Amino acid sequence: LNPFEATWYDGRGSRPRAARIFEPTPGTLRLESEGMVLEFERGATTLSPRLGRMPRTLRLPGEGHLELADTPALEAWLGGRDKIEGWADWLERRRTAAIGAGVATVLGVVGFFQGGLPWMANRLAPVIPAAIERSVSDQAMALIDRMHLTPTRLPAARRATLQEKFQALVGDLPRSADYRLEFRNAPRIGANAFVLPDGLVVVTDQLVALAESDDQLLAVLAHEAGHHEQRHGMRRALQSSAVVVVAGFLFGDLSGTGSLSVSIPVLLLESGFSRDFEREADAFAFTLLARKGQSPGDFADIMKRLSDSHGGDRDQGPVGYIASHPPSAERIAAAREAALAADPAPADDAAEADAEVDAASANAENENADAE
Amino acid sequence: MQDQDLGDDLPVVTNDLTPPVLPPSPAMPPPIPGPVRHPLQFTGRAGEFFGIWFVNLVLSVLTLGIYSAWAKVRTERYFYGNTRLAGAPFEYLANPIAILKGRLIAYVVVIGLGLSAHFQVWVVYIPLILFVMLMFPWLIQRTLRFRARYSAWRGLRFRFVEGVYEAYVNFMFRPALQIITAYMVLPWVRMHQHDYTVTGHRFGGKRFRFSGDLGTYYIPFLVTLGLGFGVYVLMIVGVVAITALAETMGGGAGSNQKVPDAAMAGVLVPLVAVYLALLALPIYLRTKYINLMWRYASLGGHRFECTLRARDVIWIYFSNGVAIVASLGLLVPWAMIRLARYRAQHFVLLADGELDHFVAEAERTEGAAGAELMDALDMDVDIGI
Repeated sequence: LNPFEATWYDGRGSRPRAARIFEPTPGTLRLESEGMVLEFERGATTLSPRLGRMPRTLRLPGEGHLELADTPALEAWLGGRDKIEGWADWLERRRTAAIGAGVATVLGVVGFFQGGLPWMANRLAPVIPAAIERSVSDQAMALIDRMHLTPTRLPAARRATLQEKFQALVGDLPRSADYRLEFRNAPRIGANAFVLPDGLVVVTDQLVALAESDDQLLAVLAHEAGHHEQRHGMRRALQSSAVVVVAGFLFGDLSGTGSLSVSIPVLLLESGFSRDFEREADAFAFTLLARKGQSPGDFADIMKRLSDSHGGDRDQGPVGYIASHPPSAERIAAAREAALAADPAPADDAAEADAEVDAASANAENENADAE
Repeated sequence: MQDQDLGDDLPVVTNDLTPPVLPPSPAMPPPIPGPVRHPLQFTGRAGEFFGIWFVNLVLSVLTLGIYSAWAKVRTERYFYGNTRLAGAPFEYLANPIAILKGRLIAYVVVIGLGLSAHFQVWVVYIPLILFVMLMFPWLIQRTLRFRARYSAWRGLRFRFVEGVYEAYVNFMFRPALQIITAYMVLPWVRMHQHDYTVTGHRFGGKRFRFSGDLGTYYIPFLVTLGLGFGVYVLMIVGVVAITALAETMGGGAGSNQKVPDAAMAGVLVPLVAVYLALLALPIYLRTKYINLMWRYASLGGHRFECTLRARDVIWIYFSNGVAIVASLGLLVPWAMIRLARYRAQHFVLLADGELDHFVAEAERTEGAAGAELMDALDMDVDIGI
């Protein structure tokens, strides 16, 4: 092998020296500089991994280091010992491979959040003991009560009637033993209903007042029962805490680009889960109502009233992606369709419904916020 | 915002309207060999660094952050190695495994903080955050030691030898006085922090020296205060004027719908301008202080010259920010290279003779945990080359 020209820094002083290095006998490196000759065991020296166009550094035990130009001959002679950085360097020099890996990573991460994580949460949720569901729900309820709610003003008889009807609605569901229905006055939140992971359904006085009939209230309750039967509360809690942790792990090192770049996708992902759950709960409600001989049209009616009461004609815009609920118009249309399928009845009713759907291009940001 | 190094002796010239009157004759004839100027050279390229940065990103994500230790080492090595002084590059010598160990410890603390804040477990969060805050000066000292220990030039490593007690004095006790004095002692605090940082470093058998002049530290501070106050007054005047204008116009036209919108927009413009100015002022102060720190630092007979211009730095920060957001982060490597190049272009070593006579010192290994925790908590030590 030809001698390599190098600059030698001996590690004891800052003076650079011109030097030559070569391998006179296999396994031994000989350094010649300014009349000095030093020999090293080849295995005891280390060549710095390649990085860009930078010169390479050959560390000599006890004698400082050599600075050498980065050439293929040098790499072939002494390089390739650091596998990790060697591989990274290979990728760094191939723009297409690197970008391909980037795209694959993004797809993998999105796939995990969209498919893998919900699947895992779905498997895990039924295993969570009832005691945990209960204590989580109690804490949440105490918090909501303190911050937003006051005791109900509905007469006891009215409450009893609704509770009876609710029991009749959910009495034969698999998790029927869990259900409890309570009422609260919520002047600030307005018409709303939500279910907690232990099966406690809370309806605000304002929603009872808004509903034109008990059937409409039962339609909302059927939706909440859908959440509970499908364990949406627990699944969502599991998913969103996993998203926070996993996203922190994956992107925690991107501190340079700021936490905003992480928190926005996380917000989108979480509300994406939430909207899927709303659609599932809607579909569950439509089936349950149809089975009980009630039209899913009731759900459309109460949704329409809800979105109107929350100032219906707000612009959809990008907010639609961030909203925790799907657009009301879409949910109303789905309810009308389900009503039609369950009971192919008066055609004029359906026509009227279409007109209503167009009017209700509302955004469901606030209504019916399920506080699971 | 005149350059501090030039504008110090002369009265501040308002604008560059006139060409320099004096011919540069005083600089020409020195018969005594003056200091040799060794400008810092930066040879990094955005295109090349993009590949490194992008692979770092992808592998860090794929390995759930494990590779980030290697990523950090490769990034630092790239910037150190492409910064050359008197023909020789700087070297970053930290071992990825040491970084990884430090990083794991830092992650435990940060995840503990994050989770306890997220789930509002104050019993854990409050002692933990208090602990981190009390440890802050110690962490600074650890970070400086780690960084110096693994930085080298011409085969000789830097060292940081100043103690923990002095770190507490300069980064906790003295800053505490700012609160009592409504921040009027900030220049004094900063000067002592610079003193601590600079004199703690050793290289090649010599200790860095620092001889600051408190008066020069107060000049940029007072300029900042004055500008801040001026901007604040301008904002109030602007808002009042526009509101008054809108009201008179509204009274004349009589249409209720249009005028409030126009007035709102009119009020917003000075507000936005003020917020931008308030973002720029700290950068101005920081830049001036970095220049001052190097001006008063010396190593043996060698001195330094750092001539960053505040308006350039503000522009670079601002345009980098816009470019990064507009490119969804893809221009981060370009922005990093751009800033490093600008800094190098404005840094000169004024060497007193040869640079060949530095000698090695005794070494010991340093743990990375303190430095990594500082990194993970996004707390930056203001060394700024």
